[in-house]
Amino acid sequence: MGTNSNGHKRKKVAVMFGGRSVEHEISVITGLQLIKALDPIRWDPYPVYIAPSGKWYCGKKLLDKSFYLAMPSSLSEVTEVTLLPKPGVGGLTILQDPEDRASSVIPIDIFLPAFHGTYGEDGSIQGLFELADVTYTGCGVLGSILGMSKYHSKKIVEAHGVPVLPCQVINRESVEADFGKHLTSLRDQVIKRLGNFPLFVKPCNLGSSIGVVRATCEEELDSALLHALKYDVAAMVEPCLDKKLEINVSVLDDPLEPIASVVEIPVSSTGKELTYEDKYLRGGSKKGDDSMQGMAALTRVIDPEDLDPAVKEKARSYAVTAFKALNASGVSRIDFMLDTTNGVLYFNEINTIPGSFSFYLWMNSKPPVFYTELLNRIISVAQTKAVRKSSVERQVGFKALKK
Amino acid sequence: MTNINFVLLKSKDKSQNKCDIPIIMMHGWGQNLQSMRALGELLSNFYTVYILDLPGFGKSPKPETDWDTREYGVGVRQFCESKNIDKCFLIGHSFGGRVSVRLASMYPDLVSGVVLINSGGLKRELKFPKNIRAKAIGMLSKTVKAIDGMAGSKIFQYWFVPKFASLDYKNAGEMRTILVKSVNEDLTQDSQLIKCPTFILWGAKDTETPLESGKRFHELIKGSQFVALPGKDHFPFIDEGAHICAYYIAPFLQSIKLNQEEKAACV
Repeated sequence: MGTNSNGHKRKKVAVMFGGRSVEHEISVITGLQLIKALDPIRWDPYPVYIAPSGKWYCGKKLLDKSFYLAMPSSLSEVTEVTLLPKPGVGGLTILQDPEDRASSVIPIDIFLPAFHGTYGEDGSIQGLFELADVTYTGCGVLGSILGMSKYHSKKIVEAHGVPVLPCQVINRESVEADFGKHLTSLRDQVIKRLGNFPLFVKPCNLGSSIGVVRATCEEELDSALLHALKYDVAAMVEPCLDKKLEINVSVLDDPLEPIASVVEIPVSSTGKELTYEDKYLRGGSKKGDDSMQGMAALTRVIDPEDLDPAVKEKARSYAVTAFKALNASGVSRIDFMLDTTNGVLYFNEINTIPGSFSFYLWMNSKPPVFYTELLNRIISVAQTKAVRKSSVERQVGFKALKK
Repeated sequence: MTNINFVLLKSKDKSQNKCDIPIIMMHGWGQNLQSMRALGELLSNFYTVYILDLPGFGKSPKPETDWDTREYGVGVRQFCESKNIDKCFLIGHSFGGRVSVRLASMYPDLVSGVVLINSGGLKRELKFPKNIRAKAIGMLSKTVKAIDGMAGSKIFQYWFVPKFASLDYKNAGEMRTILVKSVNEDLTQDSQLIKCPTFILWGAKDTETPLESGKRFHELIKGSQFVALPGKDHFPFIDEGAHICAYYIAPFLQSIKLNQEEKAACV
């Protein structure tokens, strides 16, 4: 099982998905897709699922979509595990095992998080990987945290010369203190700073367009703020461009310089902003291919011929700048907003674990990078990083105490 | 000439010295061109790709007579002529692999490279006790048919087929004679005649065309390359598996050293 036809030992890759996040289900799709695309000659994929409860499970049964529909009863058929926050364990520690195996540890060589949103993409689990001293793919703690905060990522990217729209952050505690009064004064602040309606309100730390609302008047702004604060402890308000185009680019780590994919223009069903339904529920309309799910199934125009090549190039170059500025690693997707009235391109957000790992962009890039190769590169970057980190001196011994 | 339905995916490669030799893709038994579409789309980044509905499958009408795979080869050759294809690469899965082996052995000038994915064509070497069972079922089949012939009964149809026949056989309908012909063929000799570069890609967990067949093709076809994919079944190119197959197939096709005449066909 552990060796391939050439006799080399395959590395065991824990593909982790699910998680305590509103994007739980999308992560399951990303994870299962990814396992099917991993080169089975080099890697031995091992599914690890974090249930909405926060419990971790592993076992081959997780590969079957019907498992998730049969929860919670199906959970008794898989092994409950955890990762202990101490170096040198060598894998996942079994908490509860229906199979009663001899060893208490399931060996893992590489951890590959395929989570979207809270606890999986925001630096939380990356912190655990650091404590456990394991090899893991994608962003480290810093890149994950910066990428998750729409506010902080904007500020840093702006400092590197990429245009961003002005914004105002509103924390939940400032609303909670004296509800009615504060909401009115906050609203006045926002309008004073950002100008006229319509305005855009979104949770500060979420993806997938969840909780995003367009407000055209004061009443709508109030309800939009409350709506956004339902999903997050902070909301962000931005001006809403009249005529705009969303442009996304993926960036992939490379030993020398990160590379950018072709651009895509996601298409919404309403002609307005993309909704969660657009992104995940409308299904694949890519001709002849109904099998795609998740971000790979979104209606989109990849590398549109009628888009100004100069805009494409600018998006790609801004994307690489943002990727580096935010200390990203692995593969990210960077979303821009083009003001079509004046041609200014604004950085909007970064997804440090993008839906479907943006493979649909890479397979159409020039030269194409097939999903299998994309994953090879992400893992190999992680291995290089782990080696580099292991050479850093962590201990200077006890000296101060001896004084 | 038999009408063959197909999709044409034009090469997305716009570079100067691209290779204009197209790929012809042929699906397995009971499938149609859709089964290979995802893989075809990926390969069309480099090559022009024709994915066929083999006669009797998908939207292609059944051949007028009950063809063997050699006749399928002739049919595909005629298709190539009608499209002015005088050089091509073949990718054949399962039954489509049988047709690919026939084409490559019969028309070495037409075929510049072959990819076999979990291909049929080599008879299984069954070990005890499976070989005993297979022989017994074979004898039983003959006996039942003989009784039906003498007594005018339909024991074969109503008892033997539901009990012992394969799923493909039960579902074959009008294609049943063609199926029987094809599974009784052995392409050992044809395989040995293949001179062009050949790549054998195999889902190792296959129960229909076992890994053993892949290894034997590798032994029979001189200079062939062989890659077994652990954990993958009879359809290694399904869903995102298409990326794994394309990841191995594209470099193989690009590594084929073309002779002068073939180079002339490249722009």
